[in-house]
Formats: sequence, C-alpha cells, structure tokens
Amino acid sequence: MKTSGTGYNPFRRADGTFCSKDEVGDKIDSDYNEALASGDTTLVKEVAEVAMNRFPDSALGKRLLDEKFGLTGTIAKNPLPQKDWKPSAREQAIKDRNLELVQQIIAMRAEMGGDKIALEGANVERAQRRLSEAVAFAESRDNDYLVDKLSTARVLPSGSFVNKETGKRVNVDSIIKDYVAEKTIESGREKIQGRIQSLIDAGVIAEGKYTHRDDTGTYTLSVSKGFDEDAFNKLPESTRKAISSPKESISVDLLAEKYPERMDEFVSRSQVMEFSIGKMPDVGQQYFQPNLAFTGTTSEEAAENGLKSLSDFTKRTNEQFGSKKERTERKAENAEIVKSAVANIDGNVFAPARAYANGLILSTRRNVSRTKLIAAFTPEQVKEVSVINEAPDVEKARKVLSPEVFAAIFEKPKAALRITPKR
Amino acid sequence: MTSNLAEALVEDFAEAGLAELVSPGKLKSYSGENVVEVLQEVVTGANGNEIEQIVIVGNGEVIETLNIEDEKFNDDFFRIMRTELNL
Repeated sequence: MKTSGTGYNPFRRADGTFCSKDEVGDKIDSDYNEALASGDTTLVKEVAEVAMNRFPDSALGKRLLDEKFGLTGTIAKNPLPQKDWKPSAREQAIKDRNLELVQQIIAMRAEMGGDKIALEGANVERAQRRLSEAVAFAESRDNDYLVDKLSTARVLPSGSFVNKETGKRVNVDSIIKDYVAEKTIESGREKIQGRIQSLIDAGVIAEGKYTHRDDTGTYTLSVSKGFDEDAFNKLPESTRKAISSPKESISVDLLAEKYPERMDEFVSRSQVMEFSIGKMPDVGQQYFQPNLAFTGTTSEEAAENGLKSLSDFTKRTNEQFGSKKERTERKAENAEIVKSAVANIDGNVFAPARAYANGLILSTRRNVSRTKLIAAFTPEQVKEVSVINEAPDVEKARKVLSPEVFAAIFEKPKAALRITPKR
Repeated sequence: MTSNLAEALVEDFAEAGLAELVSPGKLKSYSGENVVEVLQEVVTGANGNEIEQIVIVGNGEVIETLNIEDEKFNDDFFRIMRTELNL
C-alpha cells in the first residue's frame, strides 16, 4: 500500500513486488479497505477510480459502479465514457485517407473547369488552395460536418461585400472578429457560471434567487433543481438507454427520399453562416479574463460576489465590443449584406478571409414544418419520414435509478445567470 | 397551442423546424451554440395603462424588449430571432 498523491498502482504490493492479473481484483479490494481504515480520503478516491474505470469486472469495481449508478449486472460492466476521446492509430489512418480523398475531389473539381470550384471572377488556383487549407483545418479539428460542406463548396472571388442600396461594406475578416469576440464573452461568462456552480456543489450557495443591481443593469442568479446533461452523459450507454424513451422527429432526408415531389409543400430554406478559423484573430482575448477568485461565508455573500464579477466582466466587454443589443444589430446587418450577395447562388459557398485558412461558409439549411406535414400526411406517412431518437425519461429513470443517483441527474441544483441591461 | 404569446411564438419556430424546443418559451439552435428564451411581461405605463411586452433573451442576456402593439413587432422579432439562431 502507499499514501495518496503519488499515483496508485493496483499491481504494486507494499513490499515492492507485483501481483499477477488474477490476483489484482482481490488486491484492489483489500487496498480499498485499508485506505478506508486509514481515513486517507484521497487514496480511497484513487483506488475507487481505478476499480471502476480499469477493473469494472472486479468485485470492488462492480460494487462501486452499482453504488454510483444504482444498477447491477451488465449495465455496470460498461466502462465510463472517456471525456477526451482520441482516435486509435487505425482510426487516424482512415481520417488521413479521408482528408486525402477530399483534397483529391477538390483538385478534380478544379481540373473539370473553373466554374466547378470558383464562382464568377475568382481565380481557380487560389480558390482550390483556399478550399484545401480550410478543409485541412476543419479535418484537424475533427469537424467532419464542415469538411463535408467545404468539399462541395464553390469559392467567391473575395471576402468583401457591399450593400448596393446603402453602400455599406463588410468583409469576412471583420465578421470573424465579431464571432471571436462573442465567443470570448460567452467563454468568460461560462467560467463565472462554472465557479458559481462549484460553490453550489460545495454547499456554499443554496437554492434561491439572488440579484445584484448597479448602474449597468440587473444581474440575477437563480439556483434551482434541474436536469444535469453532463451527469446523464457520463452514465454508461446501456444505463442511458434504460432510462430513455423513443422520441420521433421528422427527417428532411427521408422526406426528400420518399416524397421528393412534396418537398416544396413542407420545406422552407434558410442560409446558415459558419466559419473556418485556422488563424485566430486577436480581439484582445487575453485581456478579457473574468475574476474567479470569489466566495463568501453566506449564500447571499457568495452570490453577490459572483454577480459583481459578472457585472464587472460585462462592463469591460461591452466597452470593448458594444452591448449585446449593438452586437446583435451588427450581426444581423452584416448577415443581411452577405446573404443577399449570394442569394441566387446554388449550393455551398466559401468566402475567403485575408488570413490563412479563415473563411465563411454559407450553406442552405432545409427546415421541415412539422405542423403542416402532420396536417397533410396520414399517420403511416408521418412514420415513413420519421426517425427515432432516444430522450431522457424522468419516470423511467425514477424507477431504474437509486434515489441518490436520480437526484444527482434530474434534481441537481443548477446555476442560471441572467443579465438585464439598464434601459 | 399555448395561450401564452411568448410560448406560442417559440412553438411556431420549433414547429417550422427552425430550431429545437428546449422547454416552453426556450429554443436552441441546431448547432447547439445559441439558446434563445422568449418571455412575456406586462408593464404599467406612466398613465396607468398596461403594456404587453415580449422580451428576447439570447444566451442569458436580454437583447431586446418589444412592444407587441408596435407595427414593427413582427419584423423586429423575426429579425432578432433569426440572427440569434443563425438562420
């Protein structure tokens, strides 16, 4: 046995020798009991983690998984989902091959003729290079969805747009900067919310509603019981299945396949803007880190300090990037200019930014009106164009899970923040 | 259909397949990046008259409060919603 903090090795005995694979189950069990008796809670946790994650079939592993998830047998045997998934060598080889194929498709399209890859006025060679760079970036981020869109996109001659009526100009680089600024703000707020959540989890902030008002607006924290998606996703797959029910939804692909002639009746189209950001623009991200060193001796004090941090962060970001209302207006105006410029172009469009591997992808999203479809189709036809997904079912979960696990997933005290700027 | 206007407006968006309904009055964009909540409130004006308003909240921050009697209500509402939901 050992003391905590130096890494628990389940095979290593106290005398420095190592036990065999067959003996390790019993050894973990006895190490766990020893750790409990010594009162070393860190070591207890280390042994428990090893038992559940590496030896779920051992007696201790089974027992701990049962206690944690309230289930027995095969469900408990499933290893916990890995948070940081990394592809295996074989998967990586397939991904590399896929990238190579997509790059070949782009090169082939360029060879077939300029209009297959470049839109009017664009240089074919440059279009191919910009598209290849963006695809490589999307692939490096494991964003297959974006790779797919880029592989069929055609490239605009530039990333600058002008509104013919008002003369207002916008370019992709500035749109990307706005997007990065928005993400910087959201990320800072998420960190504050995360810190508040840790205070709730530690019992420092109790359920309730807390408000902070100052000259910039009203900041509200609500702590109430709710569904914890992260905790649900951490359950073994078979457990998730056991506490879920089928949920039907209309599939636009199935509708297009089975009833192509009726698509116009139920389907509307909207243009979606997405980004490829290989070179992160500098919007001063490093200066917009929120203060997370807050706590309090009472719920009210801790909540007030958290909300003050949110207020301070919001004040600084608003000064730099504009208020939420101003940012939304700017986003809407720019989107309108870009979308009207490509309104008559079919298929996916890539507008290159000046910076390497950066660009904007415009694609068409098809939206099915469920109400119209259900009114016009028979139940059998609806079924034909529906897909079944699984959704968490509270009643099933109540029956299957232990009360503690149920509460941890479906009744977890959670933080919700709301900012109401001063009018 | 719900009798609450805010929830009904949100339901329309979800029914049209434009976004995913999270809970009454709350939508999530299909990319999962944006959550938009629509609330209804009644405020009492200076003359004691009551004004019905729709509040649009994007990712936890109030973006706009619209008066439902306003002629531009529909245009403004759909413009903000589409922008926030990346449509």
